[in-house]
Amino acid sequence: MAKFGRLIDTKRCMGCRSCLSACAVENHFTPDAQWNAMIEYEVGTYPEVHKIYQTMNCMHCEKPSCKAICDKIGVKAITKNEYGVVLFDYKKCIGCGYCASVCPYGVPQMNTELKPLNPGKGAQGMETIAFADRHPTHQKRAKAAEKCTFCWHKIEKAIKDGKQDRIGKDQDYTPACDLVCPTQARWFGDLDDPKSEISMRIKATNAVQLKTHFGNKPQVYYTLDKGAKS
Amino acid sequence: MRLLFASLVLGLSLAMAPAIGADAPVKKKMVFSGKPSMAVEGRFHKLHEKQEKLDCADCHEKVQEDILYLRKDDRMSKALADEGQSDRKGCLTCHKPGYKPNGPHSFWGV
Repeated sequence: MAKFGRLIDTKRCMGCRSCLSACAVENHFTPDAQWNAMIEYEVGTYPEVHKIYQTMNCMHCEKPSCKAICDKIGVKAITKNEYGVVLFDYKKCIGCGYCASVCPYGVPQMNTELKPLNPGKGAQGMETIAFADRHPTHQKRAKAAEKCTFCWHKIEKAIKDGKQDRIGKDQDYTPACDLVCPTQARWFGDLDDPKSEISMRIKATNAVQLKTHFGNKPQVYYTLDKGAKS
Repeated sequence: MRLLFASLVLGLSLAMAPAIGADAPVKKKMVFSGKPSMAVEGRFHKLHEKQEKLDCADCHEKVQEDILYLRKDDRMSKALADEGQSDRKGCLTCHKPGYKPNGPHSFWGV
């Protein structure tokens, strides 16, 4: 069974935010509930100063604290499937915000109201699909927690089509953010396969996970530029 | 006479029992009632304030900004944003794997 993960190379990222735009259109996240954010900060001292661009999205932790607390209070709206993807069930979510409070990465977003993607300019992207016909990860509800799904609707499609080997390669089967990166700073694939491109790149670039002291074992790795935080 | 003495001893014992009991360590009872909520008066804050004796400042003021945090403004509510982002590292004092101060509520990395 594959365990999907992502590699983000901060040495290559130039902060263009294509990944954010692609995610917004694909998954209809609004500024109040961002699924993907660009963190930028300066490091070094003059004259050797440079900027770090580090995108943050759900880490799909092996030990997700959001799921642990949701299970503990009996809501059980969060699952981690056999492919390592952490998903929220909007129908079960009670909007308590506990998941948001325990995530060390600040990932879960409380969407207080559903807003149009592009106000005043008509329905776009996923908005053109009738609510009932949308993928469950896109059937959002106000006052429910939401977050990045690794574009599970695409991965699920690949599995159904028997094209698991094309995940991370083909447009239909790859998360939108990883697909559009113009500098090839993002890689998506099977972490369990030592011969997958992502596994080899993680090894070759000495990529690391963020905030390992929390013990969540994230499935998103970062190749850190000089001075970048982990 | 023996009956009177026995009654006196029994009476004294019963009278002293609550005082002795008051000195004995009282096991903390977790307050898990009420709907889960992050509201200031909700269950989450009530638990940490009343059960664990934490002040607002313990979580919301003694904080170094964590730049690697997606929900940048931590806007669970306007009030919370005004209080400042809480430092998740502080949570690990109690909520670390294997540490169960008052029961199985060590959810970090579980």
